[in-house]
Amino acid sequence: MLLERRSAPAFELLVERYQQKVFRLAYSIIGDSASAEDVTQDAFVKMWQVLPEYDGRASLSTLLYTIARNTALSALRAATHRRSASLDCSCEVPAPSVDTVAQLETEKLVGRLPEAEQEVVRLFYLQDRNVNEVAQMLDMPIGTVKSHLHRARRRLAEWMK
Amino acid sequence: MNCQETERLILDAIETPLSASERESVDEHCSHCSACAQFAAVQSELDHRLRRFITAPALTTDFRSLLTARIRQRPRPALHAWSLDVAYGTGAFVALIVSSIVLPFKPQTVLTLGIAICVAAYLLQSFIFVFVDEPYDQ
Repeated sequence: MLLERRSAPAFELLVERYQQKVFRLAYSIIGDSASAEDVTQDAFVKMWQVLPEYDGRASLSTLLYTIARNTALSALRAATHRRSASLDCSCEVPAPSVDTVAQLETEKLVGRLPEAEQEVVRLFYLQDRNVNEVAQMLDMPIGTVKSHLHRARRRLAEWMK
Repeated sequence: MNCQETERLILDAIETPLSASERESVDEHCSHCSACAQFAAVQSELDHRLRRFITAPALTTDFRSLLTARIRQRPRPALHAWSLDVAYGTGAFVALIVSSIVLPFKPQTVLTLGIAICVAAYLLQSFIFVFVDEPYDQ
């Protein structure tokens, strides 16, 4: 029904079912909730636009995750470009708490990982440590997700010593 | 069980719970191998930190209403299928009128010849579009 008529109620169901997952996928790539929400909006709008051309070869969720991932990567590139253009910001940063320091340290360590490993590690924890879900969202074999996780954990453990 | 296998099981345990026998083997190995025991402790601490700090924020409450509003805004097509025909017809009509006034021939002759040329050109264009896609209307 969703495919034949691009039915709004069916699309609502799709949004209901996947909005959090798409948001987490975007957040795992961008790391900023406002931008991740914009990306989630854009991904669903694009999904709605491409539905008439959808041929059913890949599952709807795979298509949606692919759109979301590409949209997030474009947004990340644009944000990186903007950030590098405004590095001279002299904003006042409040003194961080102990918890914030630990969080920043963890973020810093994860940020040192290669991009693919960062994405897998973040999504793994955002998706309640569900490897199958992560594999589906990133369109990767489960074995690849596990080896990314294992390599990342070994690196992080080394850096934590 | 050697250290390599133990480390693999320690890493696996974070994704999927180990069986009782695997758990037992890991514990037994770690009881006499300080390197693997330390590896297990660091991995456990790392998992704790990542679980604590990598958390998903929630979508804002107006997410759905904004999305619905965006989806209802249908983009206008840049060009309708008939737009080029209208432009072509209007151009031809204006050209014919101007030609019949400006050219030093009888207006009737100019109009007849002009209409013939326009019809031929239109047919030729339609013939070409049998073989190639027209560049409008998705």
